[in-house]
Amino acid sequence: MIIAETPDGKKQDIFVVDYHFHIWNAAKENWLRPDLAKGWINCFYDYTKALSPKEYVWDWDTYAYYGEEKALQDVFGDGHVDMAIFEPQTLMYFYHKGFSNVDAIAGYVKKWPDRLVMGSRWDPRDGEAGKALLEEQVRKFRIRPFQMRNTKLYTAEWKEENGGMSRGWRLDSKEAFDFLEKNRELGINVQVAHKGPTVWPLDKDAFDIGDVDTAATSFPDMKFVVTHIGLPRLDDFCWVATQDKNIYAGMAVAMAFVHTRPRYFAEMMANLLYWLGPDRILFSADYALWHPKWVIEDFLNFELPEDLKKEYGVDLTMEIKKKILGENAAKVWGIDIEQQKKTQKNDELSKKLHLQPGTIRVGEAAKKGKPLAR
Amino acid sequence: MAQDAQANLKESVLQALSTVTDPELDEPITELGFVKNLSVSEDGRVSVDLVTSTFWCSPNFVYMMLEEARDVVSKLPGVKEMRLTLGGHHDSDRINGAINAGKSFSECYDSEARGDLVELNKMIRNRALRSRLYSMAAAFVRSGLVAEEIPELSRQDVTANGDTFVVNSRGRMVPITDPADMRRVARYLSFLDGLDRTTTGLVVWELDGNPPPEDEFVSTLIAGRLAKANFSLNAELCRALLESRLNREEP
Repeated sequence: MIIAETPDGKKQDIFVVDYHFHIWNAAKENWLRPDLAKGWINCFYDYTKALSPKEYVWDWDTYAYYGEEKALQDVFGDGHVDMAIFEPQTLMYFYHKGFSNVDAIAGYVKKWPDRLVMGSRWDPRDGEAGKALLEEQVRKFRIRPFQMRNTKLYTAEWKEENGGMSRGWRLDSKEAFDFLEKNRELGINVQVAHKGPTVWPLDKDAFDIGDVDTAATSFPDMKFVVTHIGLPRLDDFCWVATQDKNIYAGMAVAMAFVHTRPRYFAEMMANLLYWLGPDRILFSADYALWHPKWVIEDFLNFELPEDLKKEYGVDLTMEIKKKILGENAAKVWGIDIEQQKKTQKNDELSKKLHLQPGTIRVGEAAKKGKPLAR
Repeated sequence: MAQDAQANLKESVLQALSTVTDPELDEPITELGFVKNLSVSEDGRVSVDLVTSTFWCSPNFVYMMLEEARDVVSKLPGVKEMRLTLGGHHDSDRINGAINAGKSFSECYDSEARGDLVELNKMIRNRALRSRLYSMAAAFVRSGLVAEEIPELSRQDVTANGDTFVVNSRGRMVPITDPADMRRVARYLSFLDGLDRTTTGLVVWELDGNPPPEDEFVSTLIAGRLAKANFSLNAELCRALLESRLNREEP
C-alpha cells in the first residue's frame, strides 16, 4: 500500500490493484517452435527496453524466466502493488508448456490467495471441452469471492485445427457467444480482451475492436476490459467505449509511456478522461514488461499539462489517480478494499516480505509533459 | 550505367520510397527507419531491404507497404528489376516470395484471406485524411484563423507562396509561416490533391471528397484530433520498438 503525501501535507492511502500481471516462462527449454517462441519473447523484451528507465532492464535470461520469488519481491515487495490479477497467455503453438498457463497460475494463487487473483482463459475453438474446463476451474479455484471472475481473451492465438492452421478467432461468432453464456452462468463476468496481429481473415483489420463492441452490447451485465486501450486503435476504442458503458480501458502497455514519453501519455490520458470519464480506467504495469515501482511513482507524480486540461476540460487529480490505481478494478472484480487491507495486514506474504506501507512524496518533482514533436 | 547515373537512380529510388507511408502510422517508411539497405547495380537492378518494428507486424499492413514500395520503384525510368526483402518478420519467406512474384495479397494468403486489401486500405486512409485535416486546422488556428471560418474555405483559398502558404479567408490574407505548420498544411494538401473528387471545398472528411456534416466541424475536429493522437502514439511506439530491436543482442 502507498501513502501519498502531497506538498500541502495531506496524506492519502492508495490501495493498488494491477489487473494485468504475469509470471511467464519463455526459457529456451520451453520453446516448441523456436522461431516463434523466440520472436515472441524478443518482442516483449523490445517493449520493455523501449519504455523502461535503463536501470530496470534485466539481462535476457532473467527476462525469459524470472519465476515466482522475483515476481513477488518486485511487485509486492518493491513495486507498491497490493493485489495482482493474472491474465494467462497460453500460446501452446509456440511453447511446450505454454507461455503463462492456467495450471501454473493456479499453483501461485493457491499459495497467495489474498494477493494474487486467478484469471483463466477460453477459446471458442476448444468447444465443449473448453467449457467443461472452465467449470472445473471455478469449482476448484473460486477460493475467494474475487477469484476466477475474469478470463483473458487473446483473439490472435495460433492453433492447429482440422489439420490446418488457424491464426485467430473473433469474439462476435456464435461459438464465442456460447462461451460467453457459459461464463455468465459460472459468474465469470469480466472479459479481458486483447488484440494481436494475425486473425482470420487477414484482409480485415486484426486490431478492429468491433467484435468487442458487439459482445459488450449483447452481454450488458458483463464487463469487458480492452487491454492496452485498443492500441493501435485508440480512436476506435474511444468511440466504442463511449457507447458501451460496460467497456473499460485497460492501461497495460499504455501506462509505460508515462516515464519517457510524458506528452504522449498526457494526450492519451486526456482523451480517456474526456471520452470515458475517470471510473472506467484500470491501472497495470503489465509486469514483467514493466516494473510497477517506477510506473506507479511516475504516475503519482504526473500532472496533465495546462493546455490539455483546458482543451478537454478534464483533470487528473489525486482522487482520480486513486480510482485508476485500484478503486476501479476493485469494483469490477468485487474486491472489498477495506476488508482486504485488514486481511493483508498479517497475511503470509506480509510476513515473508516484511511489507510496510511506503510513503511517496508527490508533487515535488511533478513531470510536466512537453509539446508533441509533430 | 555511368557512376553518376547510378547515384542519381539511387537518389530517385530513395525519393520514391519516401512517398510510401506505413498505413498504420501515416509516416514515410524512410523516416521510420524501415529501409535498412538500398543498392542499385550498374545495370539498373534495385534491391531494398526492409525491417518492421516488430516480428509480429500485421501481414496486411506490411503487404500494403511493400506493394506500394514495389510499384513506385518499379515504374521509375532506368529500373530494370526490383527486389524487396523483408527481414525478421514471422511471415518473411511467404511475403517476400509473393511480393517479388508480383502477387496480390489474396494470392499470397489464399484461404487465410477472403479478399484483397481494398476495404482495409480505405478505412486506414480515411483515418489519415482526418488526422491530417485536424493538424492543418490547428495550424490555421495558431496562425490567426477562427475555427468556424475553416469549413467555408475552398481549395483555391490556400495558395503556396514560396515555401509559405497564404489562406484567403473572407478577404483576409493569413500567412502560414511556422515551418512545422507549413509541413502540416502541405501534408493535408498533398493528400487532398491526390483524391479523385468532384467537390471543391478545402475541408474533406470522406475519401469521396465529401465534407463533414454542416455545423459539425468543431466536433469533427475533436474526432480528427483523436485520430491524430492515435497515429502519433503508434508511431512513437514503433520508433522506440525498432530502436530496441536494432540494438538487441540475440540470445
